[in-house]
Amino acid sequence: MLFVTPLLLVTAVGVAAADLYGTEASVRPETAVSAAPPATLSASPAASPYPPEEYAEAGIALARSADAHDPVETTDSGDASHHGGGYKIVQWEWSYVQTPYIIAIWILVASVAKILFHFSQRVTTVVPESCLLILLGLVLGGVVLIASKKQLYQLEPGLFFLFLLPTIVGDAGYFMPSRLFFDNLGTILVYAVVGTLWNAFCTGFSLYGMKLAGIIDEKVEGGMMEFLLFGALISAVDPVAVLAVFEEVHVNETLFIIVFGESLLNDAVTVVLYKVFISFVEVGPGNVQTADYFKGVASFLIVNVGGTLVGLIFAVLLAFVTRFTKRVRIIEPLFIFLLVYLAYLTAELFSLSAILSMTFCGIGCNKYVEANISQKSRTTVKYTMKTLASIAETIIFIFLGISAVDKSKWAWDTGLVSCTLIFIFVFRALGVIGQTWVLNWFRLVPLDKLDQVVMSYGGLRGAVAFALVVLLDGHKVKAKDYFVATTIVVIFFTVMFQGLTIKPLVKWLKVPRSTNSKPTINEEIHERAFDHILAAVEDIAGLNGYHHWRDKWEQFDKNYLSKLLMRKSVYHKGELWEVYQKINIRDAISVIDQGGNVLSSARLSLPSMASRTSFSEVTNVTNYLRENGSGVCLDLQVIDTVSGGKVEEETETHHLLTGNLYKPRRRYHAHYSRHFMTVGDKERQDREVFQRNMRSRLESFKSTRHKAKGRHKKERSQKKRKGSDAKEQEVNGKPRRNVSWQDTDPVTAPVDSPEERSEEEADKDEDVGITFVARKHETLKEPLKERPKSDMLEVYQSLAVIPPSPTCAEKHLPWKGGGGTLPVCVSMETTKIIPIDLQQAWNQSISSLESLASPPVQAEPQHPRVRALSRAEAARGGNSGGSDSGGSGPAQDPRFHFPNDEENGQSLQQQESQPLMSSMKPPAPPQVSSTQGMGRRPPTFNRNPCVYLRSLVSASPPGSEPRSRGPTQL
Amino acid sequence: MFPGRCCFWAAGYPPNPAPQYFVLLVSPVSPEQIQILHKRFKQLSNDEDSLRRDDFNNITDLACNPIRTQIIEAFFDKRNYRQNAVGSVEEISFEQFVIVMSHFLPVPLHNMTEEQRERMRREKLRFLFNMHDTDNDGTITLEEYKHVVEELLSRSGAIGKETAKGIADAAMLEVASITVGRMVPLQLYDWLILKDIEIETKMHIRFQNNACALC
Repeated sequence: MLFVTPLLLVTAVGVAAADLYGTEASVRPETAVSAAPPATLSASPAASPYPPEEYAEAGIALARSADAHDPVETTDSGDASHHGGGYKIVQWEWSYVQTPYIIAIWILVASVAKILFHFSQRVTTVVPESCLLILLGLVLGGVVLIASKKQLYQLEPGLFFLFLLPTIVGDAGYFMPSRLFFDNLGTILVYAVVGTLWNAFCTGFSLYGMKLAGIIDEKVEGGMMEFLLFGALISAVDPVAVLAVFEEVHVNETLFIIVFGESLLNDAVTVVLYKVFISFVEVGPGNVQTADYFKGVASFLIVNVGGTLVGLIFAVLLAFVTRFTKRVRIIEPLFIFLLVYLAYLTAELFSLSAILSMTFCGIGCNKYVEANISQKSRTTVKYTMKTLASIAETIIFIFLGISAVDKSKWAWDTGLVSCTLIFIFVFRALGVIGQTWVLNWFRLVPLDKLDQVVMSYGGLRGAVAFALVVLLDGHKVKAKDYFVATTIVVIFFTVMFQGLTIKPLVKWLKVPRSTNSKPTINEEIHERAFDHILAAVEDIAGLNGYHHWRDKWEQFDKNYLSKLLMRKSVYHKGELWEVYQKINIRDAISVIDQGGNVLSSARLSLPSMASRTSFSEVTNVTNYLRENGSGVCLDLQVIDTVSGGKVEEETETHHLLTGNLYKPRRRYHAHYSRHFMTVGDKERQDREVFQRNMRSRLESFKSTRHKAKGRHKKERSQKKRKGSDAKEQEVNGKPRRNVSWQDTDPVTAPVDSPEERSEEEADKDEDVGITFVARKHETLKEPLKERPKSDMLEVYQSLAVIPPSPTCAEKHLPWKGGGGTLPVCVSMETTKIIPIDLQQAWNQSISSLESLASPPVQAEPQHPRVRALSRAEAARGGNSGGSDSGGSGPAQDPRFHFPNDEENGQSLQQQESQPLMSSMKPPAPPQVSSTQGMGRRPPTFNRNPCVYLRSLVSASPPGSEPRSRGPTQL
Repeated sequence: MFPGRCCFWAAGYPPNPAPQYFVLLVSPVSPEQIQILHKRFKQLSNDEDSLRRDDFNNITDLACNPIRTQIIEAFFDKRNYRQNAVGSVEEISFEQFVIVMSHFLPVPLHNMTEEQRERMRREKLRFLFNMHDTDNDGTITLEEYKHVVEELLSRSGAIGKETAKGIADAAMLEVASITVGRMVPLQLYDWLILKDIEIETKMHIRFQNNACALC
């Protein structure tokens, strides 16, 4: 790792941190120089190939550049000395933090570079990131070269193989679409094994032939074995490069999995060939005996099978371990990282194929681990892996660029370079065509010509080849320098030229792209149904085909493996359930992300399903919705397509959401017991998530109904945008009212409103939904209270185009979502959007809503409490808003606990959810599920709405009512 | 190469069925495939000329297939014989067996016209649809769909109907949402579900292809 040091020391001169290092150099010049040698000492045995004097040089360079900063230093040191010689208050501990500091800065530079690249969308859509990174690396390398006259750094094989590559492979393996992978396993294996062998031997022999023919210069010393060795390392398609490029190209899944799977699995072939040829080169081609060839074949099998086995063993181990992490959820993700990484290291330990091992560990454990660990851990694992992989990739490409700028490496031979380029391309194409031709006899979805073109063209070489070639021993392989230079050229050509052109090529050839659609629950159901149908048909036809065996395997898995590796609680839930859950959760996130829409909120029901009771609620709600003609227009598609590009942001949003989905109060609880999150908490959170979703669903389904008719999707979404833009103007006037209104309320904290407002305004260009928050906030109460029918049409006209986006409030202003304000939204949205001619229907639905809302309230006569509570909620809303901005939140905590004080924990819990329940309970079983007509009023209707209304309205004191009515009249 | 051949001839089955019979096939069935199927047919039916439900139920491999009953029913469903009849039969002949099986046979995609392909896809979807539409009324109702989901989940036991209901509900809502803009009578999801299947028709065909790679 220390090899990073000199590089950064130098690059920093050219980049940003110059003064930092300068400071160091001038304050304690002796440390700068003396700090390096110890580092070198420890580093040189391990990784650093650099002689100590380079460090000294770096130090000198730094010292030189530091001159400019002298004044600062002197004051600093003056300060230090001023306070006495024995003890320095401020000490410069550069040597102490040096290594991690530099690594951190490196990663920072890489990350910032990524940010910068993505500032310009036009560039990133045309130029793959990997190209940009390599270019940046070239620039940085140039800076280093200028600063130190010598390239101090290159992509270090040790670092690459032990740290950078595993992160990428681990990510790829763990998130490998295993179904797709195994469906195409045969094809992938053929390409990976036969294809790589073909490429390696053909390239090697051809290059040797060229050498004999004199096209390659005499200076390139090497016999057949050397060229075969070179052919072996240059022929393997590189997973890092393929991932980097293909992820941006979005070819169809099958094509992607074949190319990518090949790049992963060919590792075994490459490793074996590389090792075999190295040993052959070492003993000299003359001394190779026939037995050695067989040993080579044997080692190929062992490396392959062994690597896979190690991976699978670790997969089982990992799955088994996660079965028992229930009490230590916090470290669940750690187990995953550790064991997957250990699978890699163990394979390396026995010189098996580490990539294979890690890939299969990931693929194997994924199912069980995902089932065992908690949702939070899943998220953690996902984002951590992605982050690591992404940063590793970045660093790899940057360092590839840097490594290229090295005079010592450039032993250029035009013949070798051009021949290699031509051969790898030609043989790749030939190999692909030949293998595809054979494979198409067996594949019943034949790979057509376009696929073959993309596959040939997508044979990118990358850092693996580079690391391997750098690993060569210059004494034994005389032509190492030529090989290194050629490898660099090949990598640059494939990554940059092919990477750059593959996108236009794919577009031009009209290669089927991936639809990029999320699997819907229907697709999942049908997919499973297909599996069973096909397995059954095979059985009926008496064939033991693929489906037959997969079915057998699934039964085995079900009966033994899953039993062993999954928690009991999960085991009984089954896969479809899992999928359902995943989809639900994902949708929950995206719904809230995108301002909510009916469809997915319908699926949102899931989290709550963990507990039976709420589950029945769910189904009933869906019944209810359906019976009310819900299923008509759900904006999912529209919004999805609109915000398709926002995927990256989801990460961020997700964190926000996971933090804020629940009532903030929950979070306080969580702080107390961070390490032992109780089940009760989880359930309550689940319920709350569910309730919110139900709520949003109720409102939005109603509103969308009408909008749905006959409008074109896109048109609609555009209108929405426009409409809301226009609306913003109006809305902007209101905040003040809102604020003052909140001000008059004794309990609420006023702070949050202005905050939000500014936030909204800042964001409004990006997200339309936000504006509604303001509107909702104030308008809402009105209609419910008075139902100004005359206003309704007007309101409808102005707002009809606005998407029903209650949840956006929760997303952007999470504290808004928390309180008693939300139930209000329900009625408000409906009021807004429903036109007057549908008044009756609206009335009916409202009444049913109200009646639905009533049960919990009616159960115990606690109107005052409810009111207090909702007020408390509002206060809390303010609090968390305030705490977000000012940090005064926790201080008010006791206040909203107040109403509950006299209650025991149980009822406390009930109460907390009361305001939510009141709108949520709608799904209450008996009433809804059986209700065909949507307007049926339960007997309690007359009484309860009052309660309901009160709870809704109570947050606003009577005096402010007239004012809050204003917005509606607009 | 095809041990079924002896059986085939021994059974005295006409090697070349009447042309109008081929029209009924969803995808062309090669003579070899017919032989294999015929052998299997005889094996299942214990050398009888017709298959009954019991024969299917006796297939051991099928025993743990969660949607076994539906698949078996599909073989006895008149709608799948493409003769505009409705209802189910008690026993099926070899022709009917082959017709049903032809839904799953590999498709020579490359030498088909667009029209043929479309027709074939429709037939396959029809088949699936019929399988879910247990009461033959041309619509897949929520109840029917729930039933499918329940059966799919039945192998995992404990979840039970509640879950199945929830999932079916969500799926139905989803269907509704995908077909935005079309006002659909409640409970009448008709082709909507089917529409959804179309999205993944490719996969469907592919699996069939794979399944029959060994035919």
